[in-house]
Amino acid sequence: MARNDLQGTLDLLVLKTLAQIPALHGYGIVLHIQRASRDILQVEEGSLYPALHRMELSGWLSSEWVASEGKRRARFYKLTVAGRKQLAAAEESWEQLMVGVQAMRSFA
Amino acid sequence: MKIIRRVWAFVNRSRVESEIEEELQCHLEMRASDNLDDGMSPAQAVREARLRFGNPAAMKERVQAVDFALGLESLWADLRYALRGCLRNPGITLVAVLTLALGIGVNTTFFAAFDGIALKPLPVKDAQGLVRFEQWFQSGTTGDPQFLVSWPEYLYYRTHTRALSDLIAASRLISVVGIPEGATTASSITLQGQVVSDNYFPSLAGNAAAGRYFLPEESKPESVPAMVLSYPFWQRQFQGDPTAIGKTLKVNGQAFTIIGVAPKEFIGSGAPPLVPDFWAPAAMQAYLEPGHAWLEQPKDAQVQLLGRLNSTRADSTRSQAEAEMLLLAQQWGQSQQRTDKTIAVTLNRATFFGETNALWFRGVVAMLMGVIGLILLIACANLTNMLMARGTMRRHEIAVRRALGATRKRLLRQLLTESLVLGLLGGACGLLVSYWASHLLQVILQQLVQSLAVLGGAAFSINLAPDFRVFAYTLFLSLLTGVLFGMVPALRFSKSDGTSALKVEGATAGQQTSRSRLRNLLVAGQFAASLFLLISAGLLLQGLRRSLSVDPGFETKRVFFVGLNTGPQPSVEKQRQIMDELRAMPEVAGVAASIKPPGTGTFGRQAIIEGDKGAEVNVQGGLLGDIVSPDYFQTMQVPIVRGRIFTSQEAERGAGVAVVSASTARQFWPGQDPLGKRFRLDLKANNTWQEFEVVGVARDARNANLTRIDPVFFYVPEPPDQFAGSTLLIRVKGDPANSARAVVDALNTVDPKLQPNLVSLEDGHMRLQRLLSQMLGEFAGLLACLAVPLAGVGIYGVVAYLVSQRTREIGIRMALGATRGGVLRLILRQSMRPVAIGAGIGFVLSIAASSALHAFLVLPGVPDVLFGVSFLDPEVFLGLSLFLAAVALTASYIPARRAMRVDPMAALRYE
Repeated sequence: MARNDLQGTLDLLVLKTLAQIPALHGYGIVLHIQRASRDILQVEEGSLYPALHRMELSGWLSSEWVASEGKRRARFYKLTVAGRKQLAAAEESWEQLMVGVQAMRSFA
Repeated sequence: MKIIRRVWAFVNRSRVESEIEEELQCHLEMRASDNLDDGMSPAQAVREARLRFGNPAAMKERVQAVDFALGLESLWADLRYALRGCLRNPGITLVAVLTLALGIGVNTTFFAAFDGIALKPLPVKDAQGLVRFEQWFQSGTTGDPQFLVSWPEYLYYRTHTRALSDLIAASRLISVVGIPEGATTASSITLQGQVVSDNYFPSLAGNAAAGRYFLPEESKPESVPAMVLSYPFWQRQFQGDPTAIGKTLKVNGQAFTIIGVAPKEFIGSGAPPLVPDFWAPAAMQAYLEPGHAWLEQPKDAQVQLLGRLNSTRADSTRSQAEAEMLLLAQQWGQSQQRTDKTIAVTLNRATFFGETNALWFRGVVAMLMGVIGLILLIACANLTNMLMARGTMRRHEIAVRRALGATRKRLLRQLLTESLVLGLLGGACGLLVSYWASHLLQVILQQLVQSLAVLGGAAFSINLAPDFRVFAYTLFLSLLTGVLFGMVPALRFSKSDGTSALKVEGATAGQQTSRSRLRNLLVAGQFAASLFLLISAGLLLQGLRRSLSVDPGFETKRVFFVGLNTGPQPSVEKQRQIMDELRAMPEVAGVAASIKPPGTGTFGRQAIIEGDKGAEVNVQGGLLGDIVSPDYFQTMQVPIVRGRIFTSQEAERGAGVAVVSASTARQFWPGQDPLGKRFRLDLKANNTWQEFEVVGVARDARNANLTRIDPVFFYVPEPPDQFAGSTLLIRVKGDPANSARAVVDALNTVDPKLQPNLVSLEDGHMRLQRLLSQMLGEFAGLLACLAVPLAGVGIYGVVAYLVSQRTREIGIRMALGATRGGVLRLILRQSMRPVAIGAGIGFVLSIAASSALHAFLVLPGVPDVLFGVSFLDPEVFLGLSLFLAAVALTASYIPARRAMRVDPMAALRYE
């Protein structure tokens, strides 16, 4: 249960981030998640890049290299159409998970 | 889409790798610069970023690992590592590859033979759409009658079929005597040929090697007889001389012009897989078989049919064609008032052998494959043991790799790759082995066929050249064996317990027991398999020996046979003249004529027997009997136990008298006197019934099948008009070889055109009957010869390994007072224990095999292969078990002796 769920959660966070901000590099995604969750969620950086690579291979993200302000170039990620669909699906299953857990908790 | 992206990532992996590095580096820098902004010192900033991030190298690998779901890159790395490992241990690699080469090679050879017989299409033009006609009868008759039709039947099908284009007919092999142009009768030769329809060559063969094929004009009865030679015959007889075209060959007094030679690769249309010497148009049939003109006979089934399906759409057209042919066959049957209706027609893919869809053929092939596969299994057991031994020595290496972070799955994959590499190397060498063995097989088969004088020296031909199927099979076998022998060691050793293995040698007693259980199991298995093969071979060879010594009930070694229908236009007078001349010779003890000499099969006629109290028994098919001249019994030395034989006067007027065998009398008229009983026979197979009265009873014999006494047998006298198709049986006195020569000379003087080839019954038909058990026995013997050394080597290896592992323990024992002899006995006892278990299992398996062979090798029309061999034949079972046990003992003794020579002090110091 553990691995898949966590992986699913990370996917959801990344996809949501890129829905909120059209193009972002990996570090930016980490910062955004941290900020948006009010410092509650700290992404394990060790698992971020493998996840990004995997999502790109699955066709949910697209990436391109952008040279930024004369410094070294960075890789920016964008959501694809398939990615949007995946986001919707992930949000729905997250909703269901919430409902289920809540029901469990309020069971007398 | 996903796949494409993955493949693209793989293809560009070095670029991808550098990009990942760049991206990670960028992340670190951004984090560091943020840290700087937060107020840390440069060094701190970088360090904190690093700490938070983790090991970049490990991270990079993890990112790359997402790609490795494809697995190719690591597979490549594994392969390289495996190959290096093989080179590092040349000894083990060599032994493993050789063992595998042997096991896989034998299997590949067998498959190549099976491929050549049953899977490869006929070596003719456009073999793909070519089919062979086979019909199925209501009575369930199987064999030749299913494939043969009469010539008028063929013409009927040819005119009416729409589904099959190009319906071709080819006859059986006809044996004739020919005299080359300009030569005398002294240099005449025996030839085997086929008569074929006019579309035979245009449809099946490419361009002629020399000359041309038949023209339509030449296929008429009034045209000049012509023949086309086969390439091997052309080489043999005319040394490939192109001027042979146009020359004539005189057959039965008729001159045949040689008009062409078939191409080199054309070896005929198979079934039987023999290359004819020549082909002639069907119209010439009467010249080749005088006295037996069947071209116009609607009921004489003499030709097999080949056809082409009309379009390229394979299966739907085939079933349509089969349905149409069934309809035609039934219509034909009706027009001929045939009682045995055709219930189905199949159009089988034309292969060389013909009856490859028959159940018995498939059963035999499956059985043979299983047995040969056993050899491979024994080889695999050897290899597993070897890998287990090597694995124990690599414990260190594996433990280190696990400590460095390799997952079990990864290690498993790498170990499996190593054994797969070994398997593939073994398979490649196995291909070489099978290449050489196939040549050998072909030579043996060729010699076998030529030694069967009855077949007149036709050339046997199978194409054993490896095609893609053989390669695919070998590849499959190599991979399968690799997995088979590699799986268990790989599973065991990838599970290495890290810390204890990292420690230096020492106590591994705990792990040892489970490993040695496997080892013992393998040894027991090998021994059991070898014992099984050995005993099976022994049983078969014993059966052969017994069948060689059985008494057939008539004389065979001194009786020679010669077919009278090889003479030109034989007349009754001629026959009688020949027989009288022979009888007058001092070397000849008796001469008789027979339509179906012993060993030539069943009669195929119907009989109605007046049994007990007037009840009639209708016996159909598979009838055993013979039409003979009166002196048959004296010539063949078949004693009459009751009554008399028929006289020559009775024979001349075709009287209705008969002699039956004792078991016939017992079966139909039990407890009564058979003399005077009556029965009716349809001798000419045209629904004319002749009545016969029993005048004598002969002793039982084994005419049809050497291993069984004929259940029913009758002898009826030969009326003069039947002489044309009969065989002369000549019993000689004195030295058979000399007397035979004298007979040949006499025959030549009487009729120079006869040119007989005198073969004794023993060498001819009897030998043919024993052929199957001879071949099976020799084949099984060969397999046993392969299996026993393999098992021996395996046991040797295991014991040698055991001794090397327990050197320390042996040293301790000796230091504590054990004698060298005691140590030897200990080792031997422990190593022979699995052997004993294996012996038990092998024994049980052999008993099962014995009962299976006894039950299933009773093939129709063929002598029982295990004739006279009792269920638990003591000679075979005991003798061979002891032999194999001795082999195992020797294999254990040699390395065990090394144990005796262990110096206790050195062993104790060994760490």
